[in-house]
Amino acid sequence: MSNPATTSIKEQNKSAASSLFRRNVRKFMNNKLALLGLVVVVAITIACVIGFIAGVDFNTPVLPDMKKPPSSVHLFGTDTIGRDLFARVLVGGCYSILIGVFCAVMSSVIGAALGAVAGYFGGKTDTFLIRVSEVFQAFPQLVLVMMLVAIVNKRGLGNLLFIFVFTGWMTTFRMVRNEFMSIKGETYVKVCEAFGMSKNNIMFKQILPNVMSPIIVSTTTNVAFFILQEASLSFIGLGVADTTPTWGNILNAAKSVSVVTNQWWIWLFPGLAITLFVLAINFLGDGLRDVLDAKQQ
Amino acid sequence: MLKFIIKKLLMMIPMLLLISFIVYFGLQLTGIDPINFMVSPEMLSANKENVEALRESLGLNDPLIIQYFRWLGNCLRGDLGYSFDGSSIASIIKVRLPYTFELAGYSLVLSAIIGIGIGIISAVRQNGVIDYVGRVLAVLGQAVPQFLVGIILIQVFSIKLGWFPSANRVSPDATNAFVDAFQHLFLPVLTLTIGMVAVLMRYARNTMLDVLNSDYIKTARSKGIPEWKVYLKHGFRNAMKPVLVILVFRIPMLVGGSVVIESVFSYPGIGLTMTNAIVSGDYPIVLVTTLIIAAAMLICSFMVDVFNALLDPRVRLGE
Amino acid sequence: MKKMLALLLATTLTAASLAGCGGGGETSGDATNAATEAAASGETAAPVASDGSLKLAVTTGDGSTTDDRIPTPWYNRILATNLMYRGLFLADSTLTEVEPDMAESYEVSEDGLVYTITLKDGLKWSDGEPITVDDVQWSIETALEAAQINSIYTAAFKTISSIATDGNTITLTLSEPYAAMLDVLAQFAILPKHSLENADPLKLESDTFWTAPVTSGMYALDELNVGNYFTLKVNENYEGEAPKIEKVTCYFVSDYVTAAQAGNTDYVYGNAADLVEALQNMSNFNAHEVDVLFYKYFIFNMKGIDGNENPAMQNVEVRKAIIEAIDRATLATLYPTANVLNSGVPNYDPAYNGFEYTFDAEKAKADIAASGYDMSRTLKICYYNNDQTTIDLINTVVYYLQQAGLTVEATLSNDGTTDLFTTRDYDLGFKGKSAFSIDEWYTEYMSTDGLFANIFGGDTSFDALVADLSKAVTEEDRNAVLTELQALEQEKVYKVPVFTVGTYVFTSNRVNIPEGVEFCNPLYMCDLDFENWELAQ
Repeated sequence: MSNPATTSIKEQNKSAASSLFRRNVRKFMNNKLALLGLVVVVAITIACVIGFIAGVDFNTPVLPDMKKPPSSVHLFGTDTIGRDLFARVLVGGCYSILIGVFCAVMSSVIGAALGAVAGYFGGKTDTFLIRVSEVFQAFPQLVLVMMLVAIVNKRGLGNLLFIFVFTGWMTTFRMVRNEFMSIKGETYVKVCEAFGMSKNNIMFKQILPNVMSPIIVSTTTNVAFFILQEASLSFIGLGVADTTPTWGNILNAAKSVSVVTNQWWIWLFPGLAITLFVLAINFLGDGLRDVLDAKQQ
Repeated sequence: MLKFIIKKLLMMIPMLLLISFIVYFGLQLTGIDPINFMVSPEMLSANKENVEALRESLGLNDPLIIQYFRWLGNCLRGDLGYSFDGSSIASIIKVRLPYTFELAGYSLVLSAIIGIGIGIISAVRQNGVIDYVGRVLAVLGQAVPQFLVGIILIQVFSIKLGWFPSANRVSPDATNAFVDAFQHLFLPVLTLTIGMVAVLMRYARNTMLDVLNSDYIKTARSKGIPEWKVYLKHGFRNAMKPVLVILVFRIPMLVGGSVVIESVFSYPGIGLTMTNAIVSGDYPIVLVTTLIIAAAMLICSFMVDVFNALLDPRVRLGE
Repeated sequence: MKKMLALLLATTLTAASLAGCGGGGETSGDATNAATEAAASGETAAPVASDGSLKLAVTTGDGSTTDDRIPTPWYNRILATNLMYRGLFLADSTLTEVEPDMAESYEVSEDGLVYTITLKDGLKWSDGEPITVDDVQWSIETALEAAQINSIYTAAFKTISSIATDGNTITLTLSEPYAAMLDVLAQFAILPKHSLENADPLKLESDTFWTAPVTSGMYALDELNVGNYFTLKVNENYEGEAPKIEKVTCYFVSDYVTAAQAGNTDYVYGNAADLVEALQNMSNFNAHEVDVLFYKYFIFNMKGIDGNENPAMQNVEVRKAIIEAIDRATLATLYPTANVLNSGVPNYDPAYNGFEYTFDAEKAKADIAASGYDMSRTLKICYYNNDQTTIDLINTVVYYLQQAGLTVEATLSNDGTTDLFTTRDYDLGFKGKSAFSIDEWYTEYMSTDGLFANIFGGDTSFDALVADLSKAVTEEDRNAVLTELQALEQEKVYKVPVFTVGTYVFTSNRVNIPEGVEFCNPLYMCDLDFENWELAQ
């Protein structure tokens, strides 16, 4: 393999990439909705993390103060056992965002790796992995969560993270696999193969970067998906135990009709937090897609 | 093509078997003793011989693998068995499944019409008023947790306004079956639709944008074909193919989404049955409902494959 | 493009007009009712349909009831089944004064061992078959074998050594006196032998009989629509005064409050704070506070009769310290009315011995540390009810125990009451018990109790005293036994009561309830003068 040739190609790529990057940033900045999304996502995340680090008291029940409407002492009011809702929404945000980001990233990593293998090797490997993904896809998440809760006898955060990653990688997998299928026929891949590059190298260093844009976009929107999913599971009673607040289990108080009608602040603030965050993430994802999608350049 | 379809159909059998196997053993692993559900705690120790006889007669003392194959054999013979509280699962399914299909079916149709409609308009008038408003509204619908939407709809439409019932699917004194169905289905269908529209709208918008930016549309335009004809004949037709795929792919999600919605609306579908069974640990029901949802999922994924094969012959050759 | 827009517009319009039609048809049909209701309630909207039927709601979320059949009257006696099934006697609202119902007359021997009961002549089941002493005998014998049955029946019927029938007379001979026998018989629904004798007693409550039950009460089943509702019509074969309300509709619902607000029920009961608060805020519902013994209590998971024990809870000092760490008086504020108590005997009862479990966070912390409890292990609590108030209470308890330095985890049990001893994985259970009488609280301590023997390790120290209690006839004897029992339970600390909670029955103003009706514990049956209930015009 001739060394100088590759470096020069690399350098060329680099300079092209940096100018492309600058153009993309400009394009992104022009997309108001996406920019707003980014600002909101960052603002909420920072607020939650600051609250968490500052150690706001989210856990002390003050029963005489229960169900108090918002005031200067309790910005968001208090919940059904007198805990400060503002503190709970902040700390709950940390956990919810953690669930969303961790599961989205992990499921993308798994999905991308398996998708790359399936798409690149094709044939039996591909068929096998497709079947596996279909089996996973066919499983109702609810049942898996229930089985895991019953087996490990614990309603912890770990369960949820595990199940979400375990059942969440298939969409990314399919997408990456399809992209690989179409890209692997292209000339540059053939060239790399002719140079005798290792398969790993071709898959992950040569082809994967070309598929990064859709992966990034789907990871972003998956963050929102997992946060909502956690809320749904909490609603059915299979979410994280209440000692670890999440937006979902704070919002769970909305199950009680009397809370819905008489204590609007108990469900409105966590509900708003989820909605705002998910909305912002979706706009951000849309914007990223518009920017990164080569077909629209 | 026929060979491809048959092959795909046959593939579903081992996969369903595998899923049933995993769920069966997973449920056994939870270590929950069905006897505890059938016999009141007071009787458990008071009536030891009876309980032991019951256990023996139910075959609970046999090895797991034998129990699994016995259960499988019964299922294949059409005997889905009995829930822990003694109801015939087949009769439960017979009543509930149509209710869920009804709910999911209407939601699918409604969300397809609205979602694809707004999506296409958004794409054609990109960055126009409809684009922004439609996107914001649709994404807002997706951003609010579905159960909260349901709870709010109940509060507003059935409690404050009294327009629609808050629960159930059939009312005892309905004079007109259609009106009755409409009243009971309206709110849950609306809730599910609100959640679905956003996905379809975004997808329809994006594919339509892709198509509109593609070379052949540009060529068509340059040939002087009227704008509406470009959109309808070239744009719409080509954009709909992937949207159809995603639509089919969403069906199981509808079934899954209805699990939450059914419990909000006390809607007696398969989802509510499954949630109640999970909460009360009624595993025979969990097992069968899981398999039904899995089968629905596999059938949809099969349909996606067939669609893809019809649209793109390369997929077929690749197999 | 225009074509497509038009198409889209057309579909939207069709949908909208459909919506208009549906809504319109309904409002015109019920306009009059809706108007009167809106005027009456002032704040909630008119229900969807309102005709000449009393509406009840049956909840399906609690696991004891399913929405595909009529719930068995042998477990809880709820209003819907009380209207269909009668007992030999009928209790008043205290549940301790009974009058003959299906019985014509009865006689109890001096020693309290022989009950001779004569049935009324000409009683008939709703299918026209005569109700006979055979039905009574079969019911009592089957109750002892049945799986899902309230323990008050098994506890009482276990003392029956022989049953003899002669014509219309049935004679129960007891092996030992059972003071509450008549009260229990007043709750016990007699079921038709001719329809159920081939059913498996262990699965009696799920027999297909319950989809088309043969009844003895004022009402018979009209229609059951699985998953949605069942309706009752007047039982033509009922020999007593026919009820004025001709039709009763029971909806299967998952939430009582929503059902009440949406006008789907005229009768709701409960003790959870959110339910009571919501219904008290509704101007079209009347509240009736009911005097019941609804215990909320903690139970320590000790050991099974098989000797399988929970080592962490064996030290009584640990158990005492845990209770010391929990501020029960503050927890009581979670409920609309809750009275903290320190034994099975309420504080206002003359038999109460005056002992108090005190709350002292600092002392609890020191005591737990001193008791040698392994602070690194996780204390596991399991609870059974899924209502918001229970969840709130458990969350607060978890907090209290964490303040005492413990690591705590609370789990909603999905495995019925047996979770404590089948897995022996929990240290502390939080339970509720709607008790028939104080005796029921203490019979749980019996070493022969099917459930609790597995939790208290079959400890026999309570047996003699509890037996004395069920025999005690005079107030004095009873109080003496109760004093001893309290001292013993406070020494053992197996069960610690938190409080009793006030239960409420709410009735809507669609229904006129005759003067003088007093509601009893809504999970039992008493004389509500139901035949004179009327629907408001």
